Amino acid sequence: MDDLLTALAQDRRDRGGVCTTSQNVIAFVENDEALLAWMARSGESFGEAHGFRIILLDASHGDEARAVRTQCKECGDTTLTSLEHIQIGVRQLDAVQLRSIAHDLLVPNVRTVLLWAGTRLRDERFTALCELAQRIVLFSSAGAAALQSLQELCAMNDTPLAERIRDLAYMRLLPWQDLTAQFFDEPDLAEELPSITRVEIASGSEPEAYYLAAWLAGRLGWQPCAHLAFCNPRGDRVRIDFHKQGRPRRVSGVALHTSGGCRFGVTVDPDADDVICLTVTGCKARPPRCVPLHDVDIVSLVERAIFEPDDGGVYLETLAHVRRLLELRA
Amino acid sequence: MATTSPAQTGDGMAKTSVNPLRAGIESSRIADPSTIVFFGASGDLFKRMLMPAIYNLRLNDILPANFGLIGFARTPFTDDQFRDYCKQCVNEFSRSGPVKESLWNDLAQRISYITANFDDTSHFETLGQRLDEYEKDFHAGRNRLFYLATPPSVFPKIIAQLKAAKLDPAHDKEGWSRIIVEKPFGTDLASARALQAEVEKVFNESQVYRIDHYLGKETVQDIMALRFANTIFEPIWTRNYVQSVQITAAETLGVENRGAYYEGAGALRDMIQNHVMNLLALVAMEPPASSDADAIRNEKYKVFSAIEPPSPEQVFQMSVRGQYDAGTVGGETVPGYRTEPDVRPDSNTETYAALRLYINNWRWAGVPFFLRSGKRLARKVSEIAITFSPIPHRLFGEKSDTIEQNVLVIKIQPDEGISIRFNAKVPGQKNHIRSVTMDFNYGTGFGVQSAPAYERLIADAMRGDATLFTRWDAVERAWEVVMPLLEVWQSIKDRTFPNYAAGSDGPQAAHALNPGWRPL
Repeated sequence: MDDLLTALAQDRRDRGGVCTTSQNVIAFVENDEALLAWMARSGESFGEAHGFRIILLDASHGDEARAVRTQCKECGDTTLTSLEHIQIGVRQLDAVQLRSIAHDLLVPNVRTVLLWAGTRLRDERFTALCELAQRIVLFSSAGAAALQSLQELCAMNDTPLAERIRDLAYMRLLPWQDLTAQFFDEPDLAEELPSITRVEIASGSEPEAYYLAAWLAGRLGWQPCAHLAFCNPRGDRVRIDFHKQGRPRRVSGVALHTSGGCRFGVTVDPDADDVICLTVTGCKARPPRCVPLHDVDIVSLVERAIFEPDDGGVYLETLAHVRRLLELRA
Repeated sequence: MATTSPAQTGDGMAKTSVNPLRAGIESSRIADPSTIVFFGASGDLFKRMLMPAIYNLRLNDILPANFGLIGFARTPFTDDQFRDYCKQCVNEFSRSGPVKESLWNDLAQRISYITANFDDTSHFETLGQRLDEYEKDFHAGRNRLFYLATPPSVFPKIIAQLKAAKLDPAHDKEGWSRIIVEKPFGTDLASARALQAEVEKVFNESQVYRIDHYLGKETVQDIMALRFANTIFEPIWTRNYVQSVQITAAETLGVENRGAYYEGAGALRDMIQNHVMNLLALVAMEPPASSDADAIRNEKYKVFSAIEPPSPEQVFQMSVRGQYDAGTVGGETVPGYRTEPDVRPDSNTETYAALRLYINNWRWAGVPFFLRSGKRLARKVSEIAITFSPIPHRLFGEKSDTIEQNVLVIKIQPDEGISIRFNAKVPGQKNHIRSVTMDFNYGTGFGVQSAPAYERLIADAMRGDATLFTRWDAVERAWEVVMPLLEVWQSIKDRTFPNYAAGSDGPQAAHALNPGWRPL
């Protein structure tokens, strides 16, 4: 690997940049040329703000696929190296070799993040690379077998690895969680939470719907009692209805129904897909409202996954409920 | 486990209820439902700053779910005309560009207007009825934020009318009532005290939010983070290591169309007494016991208390005033102050003020704090520069090398950030030493755009967080500090005016006060 590091140092010197790496990012990409190209492009956005060394491990090509480059920015009187990008083909490498190479390319004593875009999670290479990383970021619903990925992720929930994992599929649900939660910031409406009997979730693919249902269950103390059904703490049944609707990996609506006839609706505005309509109808009706959907771009989402602190165990609790739901499904 | 959301009890204090869905979800949304009333809603401040700020707060989903806005001013508008006017304000001045229609329509239905005469109590009673309707229609609660965006001369009248129409906090125990008072808070010590006396008749101090938009700027807030979220600065933040502190608020603009106002104000009242003094307090204060608003404001007040106002005899040794003449700014010839519209041809108003103050406490005794602010200067810059003491003994460097003192610069605008100057060896056989600068820039450092100050401050007032607002005791003390200068400057006409060319660094005399001013 010395030749790559030498080439990198030379490129940095040619640009006159001072090395300011604050983060190592190991990105593993397999069988996805579009994602590979995206990773190469997005590095600039990541590096602009934080000073990354990105080690892009391309599992679709052999070691003839090698490249290094640096990106610098002017900051006052100083030229800073904001990005060091190393790309290397690793198709022929086994898990041990892969770990060794990645290790040699890291800037020592700097926090390391693994961005995993492999086909499977049940993969020795994943386990090997996880040993190098303080945080692991993946996107369970990105591939063709999204539900399988989610199942494999759920299987890790009992391992120490789980606390280091951030799933972009879950993180991008944050605006939906926030908008669903905001109804119940009003104490009068919060009284309706124990009376929820039915949840409707419209999304383009299943993992998002499982995540949202499981999140609600975890927060409200519901226990899975059948596939797509929970029992609330009083023992009453809560039905979950999934509607496959809209773009893949996107939620387009959530509705909560109560036994008293209230309906809390969060739906994408038919005229603007970045605007959400909030409605409370029935027993405690409120004037409808529109709010922006802060659907963050994937670069910002990855940035959050890398930097944001733990959510106090909410994600792990959600994952546990997803696991139970998927077991009941089987 | 979960965050809480307030509801109101009879004493106006929040009761809390648990929303279990909030756990692990950070939200900037303001919890309390509320209505904001803008007095002076047809004015320039509302048009350029306040309405765009409200829209952006909605766009970023920070406004409370149940929210209302009422405009109250003399200009005749129907509700629909006012909504159109508000939309135009956003389209013209918002940082986020033209409105998003569906969001705007939602906000617009919560906006209404009252054409009013501030002398007529019945118009304030109409306001009371409208607020009741908002509570019913929009569940906006009985929480009211009154924003005085009118000329200061009207402040006492509005406050008195709120009481007469029973819209004061004493008449409504179910929610909270707060008032935002725009600067200037008085034009001198006596008028500030008179205004405060009127305010106190209706609002207690915890309900008054005196706005100084400088305090809403991200970098100003970062002064405390720099000092108290790091260990490396605070130990050297004392007279033992700091040689001097410079605070600069320089503008390239002249008085524009504000000649009439500026004639009665001047640089000392317009900038030094409020903005610059607040920066000084943040730099010089002791670590507060907590991040609580009053803990911070207590420490700021202590700084002002420790500044000894100059005696009349000391005024000219401790200060310099200036007035700009015609000159060149940004390659354009600009007129002198005395030929600006609404300015007297023999005006004695200063457009530049520089001061040297001392803070008489253990931390700062003997360290000069140089403050300067002016119009039509060479560069638009607001910054705080802390110059550290020279090294005690020279070990390095060739004879020709100058070993410069370390300087920490907190850049407030433009290019918000922090830089540190230090010395380093120049690579090579010789032992040359040269100063280099290490820069941190907010824009590239975090990759996010800071929100304008008004957005932050309006949201804070709605949340009831007074940290970034000025408390009366500090306002009063700041006036006490500058009063001797005001009195002497007013009584003795400066025959050297105009004494600096537009586009320059200010009057020559300022260099006698401080030969080490950083070049503009």
